[in-house]
Amino acid sequence: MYPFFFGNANSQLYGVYHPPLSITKLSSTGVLLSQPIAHEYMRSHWAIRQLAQRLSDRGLHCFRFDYFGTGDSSGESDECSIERWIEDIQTAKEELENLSGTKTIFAVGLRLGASLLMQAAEKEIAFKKIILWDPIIMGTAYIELLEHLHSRQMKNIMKGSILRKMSPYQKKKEFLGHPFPQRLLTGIQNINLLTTKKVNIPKALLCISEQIDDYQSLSKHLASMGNEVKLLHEPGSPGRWEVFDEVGEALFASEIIQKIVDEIA
Amino acid sequence: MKPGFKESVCVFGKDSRLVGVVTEPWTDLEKRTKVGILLLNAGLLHHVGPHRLWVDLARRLARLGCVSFRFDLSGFGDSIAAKDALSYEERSVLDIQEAMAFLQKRKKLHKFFMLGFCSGAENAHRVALVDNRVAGAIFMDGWAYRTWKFYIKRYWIILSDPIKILMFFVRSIKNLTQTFRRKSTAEEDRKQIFASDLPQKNKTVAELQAMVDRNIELLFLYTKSAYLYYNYKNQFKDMFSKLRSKGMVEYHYFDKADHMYTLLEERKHAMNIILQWLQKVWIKFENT
Repeated sequence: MYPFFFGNANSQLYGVYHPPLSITKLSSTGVLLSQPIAHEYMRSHWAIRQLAQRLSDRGLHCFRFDYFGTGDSSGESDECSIERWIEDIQTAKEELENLSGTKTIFAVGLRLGASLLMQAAEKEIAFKKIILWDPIIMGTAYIELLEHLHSRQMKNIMKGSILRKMSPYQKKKEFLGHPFPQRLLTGIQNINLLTTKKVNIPKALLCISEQIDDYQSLSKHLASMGNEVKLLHEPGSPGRWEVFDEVGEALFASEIIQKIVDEIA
Repeated sequence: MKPGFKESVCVFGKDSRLVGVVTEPWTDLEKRTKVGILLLNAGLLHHVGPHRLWVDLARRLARLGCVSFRFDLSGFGDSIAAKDALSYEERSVLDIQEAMAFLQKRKKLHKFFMLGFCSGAENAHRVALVDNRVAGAIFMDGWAYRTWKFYIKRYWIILSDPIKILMFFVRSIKNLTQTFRRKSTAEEDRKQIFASDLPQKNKTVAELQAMVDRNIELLFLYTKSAYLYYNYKNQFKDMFSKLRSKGMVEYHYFDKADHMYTLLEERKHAMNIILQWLQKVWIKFENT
């Protein structure tokens, strides 16, 4: 694999290219991986790398990258916005097209990474196939979950502490180790995949670790827009996104990763 | 406005398996320190560190004129696993030494400080013991040993509150039941993480003494999350009372921080302590 900085020199992004390890009929296809953010990014890093490696093993070009203000990419953590991240998807897609020499690009997104791919599709950043892995459907629900997890973690930290001031939390929104500036919060709150305007995704796969009604609704919504949609449930790799582990538990999702690889390949 | 630093991705090591990011001052003309800082993997986390702490720290260090290198050990993050029979401990020491060799060659640096968090602290300890290029080390939530004051504080908190006494018995019965059911709890996971393979205290003291005697500067940071082993401000002084520090050892206790410094305020506080300490100690290398 080849890690490097790409994009605008003044706001470079970090990416890792996994070339095909065998030449197959799939070697004219590239797969862009769109990662989650904040604490879910930390938790999923190994799983995303595993996915990239397995796709590469099957002969596909694969490219994973860090959004602006996350990971190794430039930008402070409080400079993030949904608008900037959608631009990053376009930049990363173009980079993958240059690296692979192909315009046949699929995309896999995990959690908010999946939601961002849908937002990008609305802005006509086109992919031949999109795989949405445990996507965040309603941004407001995601923010509520972050607030709940953060509040619980604060109680754990404050246990036994007297007169702990809450002011840093109140003045500047932060959730589980990451700042969420107002612009980013607003952008996330505006996400509602069930009201996505007409998007042209030749093929979509909804890959979920837990059966939630909203995923069924999303599947129907995408199909109603004339897209070919498949819903795949893999309970063997539970996301456990409603849990925060302060000692940095990693996501192990071998089964769902294999399902995604098999579907793409 | 220029960012004040520049970064480059590096693939290094004998088999070009290891991946890292060098962060340095914006231009070659800017004043640089003569020491480099190595930011080691924290547990299973890749080279950006807990909540991107290594990235933020590296960029601040660059603005102060310091070159830093955050990288992944074999098989972690973006680095490829080694195909040898070495243990994790042995391989980690070699990888860190490869990182130093890489910076020696590329950036003409000859002395290094290491920053290790959790298992990274243990790796920093192992390398500091054996490598003369190490000028200093920072250990975050590294090894700790209970003292009698630790036990008093721990059980006083429980004994002073009737509800806590009740909860203590409930938890004890629950733990006993779970032991029989072999059910892992978050508490058990935490015990495993913080206990790891805790060496004998005498051995640790002797090794730290050896580092001090070789003029290696040492900084120890402990958080509230280490409460199973460390729970008061001066526990370091008590647990290592036999260590003759010669003014080369400093310690801090963050009683409002969890293991990963989740709160922004606490993370900023820890970064400030680290940066102040580094600036104080690396100055002795500037005129050599």
